[in-house]
Amino acid sequence: MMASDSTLPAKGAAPRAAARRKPYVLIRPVWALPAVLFLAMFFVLPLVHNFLRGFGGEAVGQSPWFYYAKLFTDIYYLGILGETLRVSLVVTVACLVLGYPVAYFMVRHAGKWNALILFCLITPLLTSVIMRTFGWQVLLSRTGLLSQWLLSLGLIDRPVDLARQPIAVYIGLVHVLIPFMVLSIAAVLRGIDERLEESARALGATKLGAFLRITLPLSLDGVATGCILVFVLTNGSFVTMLLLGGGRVVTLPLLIYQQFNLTQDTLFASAMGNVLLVAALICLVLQVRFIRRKGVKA
Amino acid sequence: MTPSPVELVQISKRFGTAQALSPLDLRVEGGELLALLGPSGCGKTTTLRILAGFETPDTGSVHIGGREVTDLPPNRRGLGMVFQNYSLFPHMTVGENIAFGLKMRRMNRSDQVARVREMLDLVRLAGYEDRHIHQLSGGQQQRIALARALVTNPAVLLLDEPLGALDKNLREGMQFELRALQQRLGITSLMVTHDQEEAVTMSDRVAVMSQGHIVQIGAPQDVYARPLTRFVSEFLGTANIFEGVLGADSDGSPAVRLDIAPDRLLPAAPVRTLPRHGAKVAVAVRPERIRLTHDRQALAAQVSAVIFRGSHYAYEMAVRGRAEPVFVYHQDHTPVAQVGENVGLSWDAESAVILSEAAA
Repeated sequence: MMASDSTLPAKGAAPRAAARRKPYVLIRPVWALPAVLFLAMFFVLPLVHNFLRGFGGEAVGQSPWFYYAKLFTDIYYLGILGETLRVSLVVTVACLVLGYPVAYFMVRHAGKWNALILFCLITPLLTSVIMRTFGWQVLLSRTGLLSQWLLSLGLIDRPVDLARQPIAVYIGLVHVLIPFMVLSIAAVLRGIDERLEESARALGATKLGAFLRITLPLSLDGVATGCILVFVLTNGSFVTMLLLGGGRVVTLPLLIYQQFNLTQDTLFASAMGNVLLVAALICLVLQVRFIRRKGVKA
Repeated sequence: MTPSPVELVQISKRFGTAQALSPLDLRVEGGELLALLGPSGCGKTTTLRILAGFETPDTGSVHIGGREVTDLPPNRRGLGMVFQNYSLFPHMTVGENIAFGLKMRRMNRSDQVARVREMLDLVRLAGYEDRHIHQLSGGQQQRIALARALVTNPAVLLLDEPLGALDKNLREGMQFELRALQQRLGITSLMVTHDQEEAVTMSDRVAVMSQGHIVQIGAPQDVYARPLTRFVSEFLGTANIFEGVLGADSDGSPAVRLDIAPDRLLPAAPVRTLPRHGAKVAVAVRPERIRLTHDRQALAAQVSAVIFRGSHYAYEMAVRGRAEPVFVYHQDHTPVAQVGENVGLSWDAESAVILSEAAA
């Protein structure tokens, strides 16, 4: 039956084929509407609202730029901006220094262990932030494992409290953000032909020389992507700082949190939010620029 | 500068459970181009990589110009190497690519520039210094790779499937060009290829490899005309293999009684180590060596297909008692036999090569 149907000449078959195709035609751009509406309601609108609120200086009898002026001239707030930048830079550099070798190992040497390394890398992302933070507190606190080990090894003579210290914040952030760095770099490394390094070796370069002159420059795309990602993510993260920093590391997101919850100065909080938003947008633009340049090159 | 010979002594290499190279000896004479020819997995690339220093042999030693280099890293062996896909550095210009080896030797900038220009002249790409690699055609990339490998005046040039990535037309031209350049510079060269035409065209000597062994080594024309084993005869060109029993002519020269024509003794070419009389042997005859005659003494056959191949006609012959056809090539303007025609096949004693059955 089916066979004879499908071999029928076009006259009868055409409408039937159209009828059969109809369900597919139904998948139209319209189907994206719920998602678009959802995003518009709960993301775009609040964002716009927040953006406008950031220029709400007039409500307290000041210029629209009042809060920005406050943020960028007051020595306290400038310090916090600086701290935010510093934490982001330190975490980014730490992720790069620790992450590059891992990415290189995964791509060039791991073989069948690749999947396991990958799993270990992304576990922190799969763990809830509370669990993760609590875990670090257990390890780093005065009576924690690390302190005990250092004591028994005789490296320190009394217990130290590493939790509620800047170092805990850095550890916690690097822990959760390093997969972004490793995966960005590994993706690019994977595309670099190993024989390029061999070519350089045959031409007289040492192992290190071949890496520095060939593989490293070719992997800079991945490094840049990873750095931008980690930088932006650190810029915006505050739970880790709140829970692990013990109030010692105050960055912009933390300040926003305080403005909302403690001083309830939502206008100022919005202005700071806008500063973060602009920083993230600048990073995004940088990344897009970067990728476009690569596209022309390839 | 006298060209340096290269010698591999009792080299073996095992990857996991696979024996990539059985203990193998190979000597490349100074100034000669030797081609390692074989199917993939035969160990030819491993041999080259051991010579280059990218792999360490399990046993044996590597000598370049009389100096043992077995434990030296690749960067201290003074070799030039052209990789299969050229492996040009994509983030450098043509000039920077070529200068890389000079830079590693800390040559001063102005000398580098002069030397790069010299090399570009050599490969007929003068003025290409500032081009980017992706702006070059395949053939141009190939020449840049060659220039980059030769810029440091290496003692030995290693070529890993150097023309494998080029299309056929370009490949033929490059074969001649590469060979001419190699001869002009008189540089000792080892080439790895799976393309028998490339090996035959370009090399002074061919080493045919199979399963980690060198099966036969010699001048291309000798290996082609006198293959030692069935594998060599079939890998290097096309061969008709006939089974038979060894006998002798009235004058004592070897002759074979073919299984498909047991009533007569066909003369065969003398070989160095002849099996005893009455032994079962295989005989290889090249398709272009077979004559078509109407002689009653010749092997009776019937034409089953005539195929025009451009440079020659290929005839497929059906012979009674034999499953596979016998191939005959003739360079005539028009076919000398038609499908269905009965013909006789004959050949000179010289053209019937007795194969050693051991490795067949």
